[in-house]
Amino acid sequence: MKNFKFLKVLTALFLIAVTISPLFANGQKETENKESLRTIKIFAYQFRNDDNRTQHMADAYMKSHPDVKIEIEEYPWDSYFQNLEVRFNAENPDFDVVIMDIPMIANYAERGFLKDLSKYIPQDTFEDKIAQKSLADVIYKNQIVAAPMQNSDQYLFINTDMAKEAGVTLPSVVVDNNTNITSDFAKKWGDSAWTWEKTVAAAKKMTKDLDNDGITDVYGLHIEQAGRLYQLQPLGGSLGGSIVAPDGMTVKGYLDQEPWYKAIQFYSDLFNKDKVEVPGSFIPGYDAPKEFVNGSFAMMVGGGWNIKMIMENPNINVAIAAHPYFKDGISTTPTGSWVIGASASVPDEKMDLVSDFISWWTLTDEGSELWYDTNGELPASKYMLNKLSTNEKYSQFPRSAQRLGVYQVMNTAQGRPVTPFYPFINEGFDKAFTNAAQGVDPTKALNDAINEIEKNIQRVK
Amino acid sequence: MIKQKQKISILAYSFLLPALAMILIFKLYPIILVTKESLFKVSYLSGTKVFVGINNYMDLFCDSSFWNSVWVTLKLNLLINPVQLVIAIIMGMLININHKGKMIYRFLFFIPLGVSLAVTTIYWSIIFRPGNGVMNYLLNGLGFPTQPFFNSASQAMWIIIGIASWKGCSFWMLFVLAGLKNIPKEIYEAAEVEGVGSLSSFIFITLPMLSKTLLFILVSDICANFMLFIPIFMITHGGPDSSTNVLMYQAYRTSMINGDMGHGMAMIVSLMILLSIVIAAQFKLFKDNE
Repeated sequence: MKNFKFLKVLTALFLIAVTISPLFANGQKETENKESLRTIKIFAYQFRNDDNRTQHMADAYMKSHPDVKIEIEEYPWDSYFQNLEVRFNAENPDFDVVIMDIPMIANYAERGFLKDLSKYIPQDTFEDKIAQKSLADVIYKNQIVAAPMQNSDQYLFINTDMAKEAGVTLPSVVVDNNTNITSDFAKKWGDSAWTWEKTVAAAKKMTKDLDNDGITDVYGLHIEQAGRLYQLQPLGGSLGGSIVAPDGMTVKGYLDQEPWYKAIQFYSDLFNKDKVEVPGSFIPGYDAPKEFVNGSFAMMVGGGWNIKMIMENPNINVAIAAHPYFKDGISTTPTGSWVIGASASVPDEKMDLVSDFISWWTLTDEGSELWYDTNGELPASKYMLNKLSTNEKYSQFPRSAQRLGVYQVMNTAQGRPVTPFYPFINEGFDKAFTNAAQGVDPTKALNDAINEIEKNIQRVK
Repeated sequence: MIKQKQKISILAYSFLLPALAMILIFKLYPIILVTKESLFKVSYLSGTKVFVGINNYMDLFCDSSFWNSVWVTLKLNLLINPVQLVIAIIMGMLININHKGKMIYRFLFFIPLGVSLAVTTIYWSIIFRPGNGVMNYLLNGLGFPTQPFFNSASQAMWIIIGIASWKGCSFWMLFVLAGLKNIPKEIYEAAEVEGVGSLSSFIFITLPMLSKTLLFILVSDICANFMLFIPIFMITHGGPDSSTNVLMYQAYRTSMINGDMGHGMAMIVSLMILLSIVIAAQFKLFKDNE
């Protein structure tokens, strides 16, 4: 009986101890603090193909800085921004370095989530090392709130077998696996871009119902990121449209202008009138590059990140043409990519280490070259842009194709709106274009989106 | 005697303590946090968080997207809950009654329980892909025209209902089955002797005897479907034309994508209040029924 009593008391004590033990779990705080000053925590986007690119950079830095420890927390595209939003809003986001999509940085900076890097790295160094257009995109209210890691470029990929079969003549200058790409060639290539009108005409010819069962088996054209601002901005941009006022405070007087009504009508027509676009592409998870190489559609307007995968695929013959533009408009292409910054929560005594790491990755020749060799996307550093254009090491296809990207950055690139209200604008824009593609009247879709964007801006101003 | 009782209650409470702590930390505390957050507003331009009292709630009253989401949520629930309840009863009956195909039904009806809602959603998105999805090939083979499915404001909601019900019906069927097993066989035997037909015994014996179970299912089902999120998050993103933009998704979008936490949290609190009203009404109904 006594033993049973003892057992009861012991059980009660154990359960109470288990419940309250987390309240006393800060015994090692001091040691942890010392160690944390030499530990860099990175909140990272899981770059395409999940091949540990960020880890590769961290390993290289730790090799040359043996006393530094780097911890990486990675998230894929689908949940990246949501996770980042939650963490930024927490009392302590628990990371030092953060990888961000460029149009989001004005919003993060405005809400006080980012350090001004120019306080720790001289502005001259940024100007010396980063291409002017890329640097301009990370300056917000005279502060350098992030360092550009890379850039992006866009192309029209054409399945040449399908084009031949449909009797479509390719643009006069295209790139294939054997093309020797020089700077002069890039200009001729850029000048030979199709207009959107020609592109749609070709797409109509290439759209096929192979077994005459009433269902389209091969679509003529697909724009990789269905309904998204990044890829659709050039539609209005080509017609001279801007999305937001120069001060970033309103879309009224900009997004509600003629170029955007024409652009959204054009996008809607691709799906509903011309029926050359893939209707199922709005379902998340639709893997456009894979569908393209599998022959689901004949042409894809897509990013330079696809070049290697598409051009090295033995089952498909592809020509790379320049990004289309409207007949009466100008040629504009999407640009901007991932940037790296420091969380505002990093203590001052740790900023030397954090800024050194960011500087090593993006501003040093060694770091930027290693990142380009690891990641393979269009660089933002002057050193690498120059090396990519001239060095023998990058003269072989598919790397050499990025010389076309250099041409775009210099001539046709148009950045996304720089405004703290970008999330509202991005969401409203995507919704309008997606709704229009799904059959909603394009004018109504755009007007509804503009009203919602303005309402949201007014609320959080 | 009192001391003995106290000792027993200390032991009993210590057993309850870990579970209570979990409820406190993972249920009650977040509710308090969400309610607190809904009283603040972040100004993008000043970067400050200011106490605005019930202003976020007042804003909701003038927010047409919010009201559209409330309507979509109610519409979804008015459609999905009766559908799931009726199908769950039919499924439960098919498994409970002795007949030749019982094993096949049992096998088929239990499959959805082994598949997560996320995986179910992926399967359905492939089947109902607009354009050249599996279902369109089937429809076409049967002579029907191609359907837009998720690209259509009038069809997308029904497919969402289909996805949630494919899994939900099997789950609720388990409770129906448990309820059916609790009805004494003697009642049916007596009814049979009295010459009562199958339909009459279902209406006058089975349904009244199942009433408590069915009310429990209805309450739980409404709770689950008010918070339905995964298929909308994974496929429609609230579209087309906001036709599937339920309150849960609108709150997620406002707070997690747009970073407008105060407004988003006010939506969550409103959803909580709406749900509490519905549940309170059902409990009242449950009590009156007793």
